[in-house]
Amino acid sequence: MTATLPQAIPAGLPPGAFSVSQLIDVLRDVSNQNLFSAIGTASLTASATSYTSATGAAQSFTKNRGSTLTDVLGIILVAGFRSTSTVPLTTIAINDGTTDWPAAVIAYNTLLEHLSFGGVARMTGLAAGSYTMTLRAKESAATGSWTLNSGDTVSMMLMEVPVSQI
Amino acid sequence: MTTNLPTSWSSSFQPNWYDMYRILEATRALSNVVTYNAQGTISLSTGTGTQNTLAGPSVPFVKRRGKTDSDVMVLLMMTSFIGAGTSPVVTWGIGAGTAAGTNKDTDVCSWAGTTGHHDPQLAVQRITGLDAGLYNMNLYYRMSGTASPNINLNNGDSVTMIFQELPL
Repeated sequence: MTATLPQAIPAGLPPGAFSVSQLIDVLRDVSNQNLFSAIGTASLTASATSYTSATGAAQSFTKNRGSTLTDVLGIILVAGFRSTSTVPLTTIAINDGTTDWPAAVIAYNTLLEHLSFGGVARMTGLAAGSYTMTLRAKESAATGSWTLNSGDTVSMMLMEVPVSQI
Repeated sequence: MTTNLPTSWSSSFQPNWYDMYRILEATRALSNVVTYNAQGTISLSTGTGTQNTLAGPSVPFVKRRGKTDSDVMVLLMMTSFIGAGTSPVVTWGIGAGTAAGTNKDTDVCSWAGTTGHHDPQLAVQRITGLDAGLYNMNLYYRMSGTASPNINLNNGDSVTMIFQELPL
């Protein structure tokens, strides 16, 4: 079964079982969306050049179909602040249990100011199955720290999307 | 998350009107998107610590399917600034109100702002348990903190909300 919908409809061709099953497949894919929200309940302090996992900012996601048919699109929105050194860049990512998928990087120009930012990560090559998706963050240099705490919100939206046909 | 669409079929699968109905219902839900956008036109300056509806940001939303078939996703993108207060935290949320007077509140995000700095607040939230029907989606706020916390929006702030119906 393919996620590819017909590009052109031949004149006079009546819809058949295969056409309908293709429609159902694609609708099931794009209907498979999970939302996660932690309003003041997640925490994370990133101070190293390797990724650190957040506490209270993970959600399970069941991918229905295989890696050749669908990807997982993740949208992550966070807020946080720097308490020391504004020099390093902070990168946030979604970890699928094995791989970190970077979504956004930011350069804070102020200290102790809670700022929101976010980005999108398209996770490719994932087999069908259950995943735990976790917010992670890292620094470009281990000379400061970025923190999210009870004054911040974390949102994560995950959706199954057909693989790109381009 | 599941869907009411069938998950498998045999080689002898023959679609019927009920299958087509489910396809149409899922398509109608996913196509149901409403937006609200205001640039510089929302005014707020308040020190209240209780929950209040923000005047202005409100949009009608017709939920096509019942609470066992779909939820409503809200994407909130806005800026505001703290006018006064010690360690104030503002919480923004959506009140889904009906003409019959019922209302369901759902918190969307909280943010510990910096006094005088217009900063973004970005969040996505799922609004659950709504029956099919017409709702007015209103943006509400409440403050925590001490020393007369104060939250503000003026001509330097924007409010954007996107609502989409999500099949379960």
